[in-house]
Amino acid sequence: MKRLSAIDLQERLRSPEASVICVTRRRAPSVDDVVRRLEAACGRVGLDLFTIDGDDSETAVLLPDLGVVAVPTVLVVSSGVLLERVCAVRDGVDARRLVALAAAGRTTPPMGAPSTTPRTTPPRTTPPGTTPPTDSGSPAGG
Amino acid sequence: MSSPPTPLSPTPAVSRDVADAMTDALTIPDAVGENVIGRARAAAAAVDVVVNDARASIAGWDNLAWVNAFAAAAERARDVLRTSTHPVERRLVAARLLRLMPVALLPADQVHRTVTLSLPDAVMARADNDFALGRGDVPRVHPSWTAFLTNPTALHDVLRPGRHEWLLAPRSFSPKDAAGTAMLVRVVGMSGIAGSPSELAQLEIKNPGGHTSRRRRTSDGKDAGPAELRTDVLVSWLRHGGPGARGLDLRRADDRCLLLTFHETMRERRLDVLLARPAGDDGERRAAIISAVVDAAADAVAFAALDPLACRFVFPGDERHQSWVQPAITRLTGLGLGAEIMPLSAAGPTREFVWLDAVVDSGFVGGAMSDVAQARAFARLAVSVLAPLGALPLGGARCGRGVVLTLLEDDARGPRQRGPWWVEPAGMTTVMPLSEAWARGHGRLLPLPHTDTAHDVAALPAFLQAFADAIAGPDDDDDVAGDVDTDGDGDAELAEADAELVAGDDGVDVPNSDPANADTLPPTETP
Repeated sequence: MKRLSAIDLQERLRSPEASVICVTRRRAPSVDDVVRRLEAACGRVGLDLFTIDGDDSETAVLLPDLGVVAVPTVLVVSSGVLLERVCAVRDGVDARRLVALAAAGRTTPPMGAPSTTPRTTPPRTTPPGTTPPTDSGSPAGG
Repeated sequence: MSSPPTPLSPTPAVSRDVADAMTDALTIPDAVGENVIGRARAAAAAVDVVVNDARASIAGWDNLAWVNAFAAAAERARDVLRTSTHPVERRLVAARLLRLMPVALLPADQVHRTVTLSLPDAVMARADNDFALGRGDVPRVHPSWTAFLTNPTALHDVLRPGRHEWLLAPRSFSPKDAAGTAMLVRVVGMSGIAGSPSELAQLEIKNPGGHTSRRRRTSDGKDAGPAELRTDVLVSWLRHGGPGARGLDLRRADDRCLLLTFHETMRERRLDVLLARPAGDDGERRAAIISAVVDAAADAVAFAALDPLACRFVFPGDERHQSWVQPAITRLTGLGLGAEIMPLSAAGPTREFVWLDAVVDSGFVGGAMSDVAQARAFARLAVSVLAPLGALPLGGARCGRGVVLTLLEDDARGPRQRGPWWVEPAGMTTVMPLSEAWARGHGRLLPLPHTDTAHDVAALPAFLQAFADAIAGPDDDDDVAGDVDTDGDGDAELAEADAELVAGDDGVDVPNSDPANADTLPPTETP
């Protein structure tokens, strides 16, 4: 876990690397829970967890631009794009989902990529309850 | 030698008896098992008992009683959720719990918003087969709606004076007039060789206060010369898709459900009928229809998903309320569903409790989506479905909660541009002019079009056709306009849909008495 200053945060937001950043506050049990879960999830995939102090006057100036309204808030950033911003991490599974989002942000497919095309069911060519025609009688089928 | 065995077949009398028995025996199921929707409704019914009792008996002012009722329903829901595995089941249970949220304890910016978790019934019915797509699940678009985009000079044509509303330009052009990283300009004249990189546009600058000028200004307000900018800079902003822009990934159930919800919203508003017919020459009518499609896309996200922060409990923190606030918070935290959060900066001390994401799953199918996730879902939908209609999205704003949309359209004089708009599905107003969003403090930090993905405008119509064909199947080569009117009353349906649109039911302001609209409508009566 690394604590970021205001300047570090600016650089981290511009960095092409994916980052998980948690806005924290001292002596807050709910913050400690979230940080602990995120730290474990980040450790599994080799990502660093960054924290910023929401009560620090220098970083607090930047937080409205990032849409942060409460503590704790988890920001997932990749290549300067905010991928997710959540206030609660309910368990380890939720933490791993957020961290996976950051990891996936490093391999975003290009716009309009053909990943949008695969169909999940074969096209229905006959009404339900009827037998589909076979090609045994067609000239091509011999 | 023995005779061959006789096939076993019941005698006619036995067959008749069995048929009669099956008719009378109500316990014989005609379905293999209970489907997801059936289970979801049963789960919700378990919570309904508490919800209906509470709504019938608790006074509106009694916040503590509402919180206790919420906790009682949540306890009942927790028992149900232990056995509910499908996100749709959890979504229906959470929708019941939302009915117990007292308005007085909602966040101040959400009290006037209807918070729901509604998914169209036709889409929920697809939960059984994991929202699989098939023929007819993508709105069919007549080629006349998109043909003008294939014109290679379309983007330069919209830069001509009078052919656009406002265009985006970088902050460095006139820092004093910028809002964040960008600003709004309008072309009032052109000089240089048309279409060449050296072509210059004389601009009118709109500053955040709404005033216009034709002089650039430095950040300290000094004059920096006439407002002139190369046209290729303006074109690059039009084509700008934002960093990492991508379309729907239909391998994911979330995106399939999103596409189905959008299509169902279009159907409910009769927009699919309008898009399947020729666009006509009336530019105002075309723009109104495309604007309505944009609204439908934003609403498809906004009504089906909910930001957990938008439905959190916000308790007053001052001393005179502690007599009921403290028991209420103790009751909620004792549930084990949700967590208390602390506001970063508030006018007074408050305590807040977030619960939705502890009940439902994240994502579009689950229903819990942050404002960032909703904006990203809309952006994916826009890249795949709206951009080929000329509504070009620009995502990747620093705040993450919205998408900039610029509309290219066609009329009798050629291509033109409208907007830009700020689309924020999780906001109170889903679509608003970008200047208005800037005034509210949203969308100020837009990405600059240096190295990001750009829309290939000329290829968008072909992309839309390929997208629809891929979902419909390789053997779907029917005529786009021809396979819509299956019941033979397509003209009447079109006229009805158009009349509703003109009447402004979709929030689109179209002059009702515009005679030009009548020219494009099909005849509804035979003389």
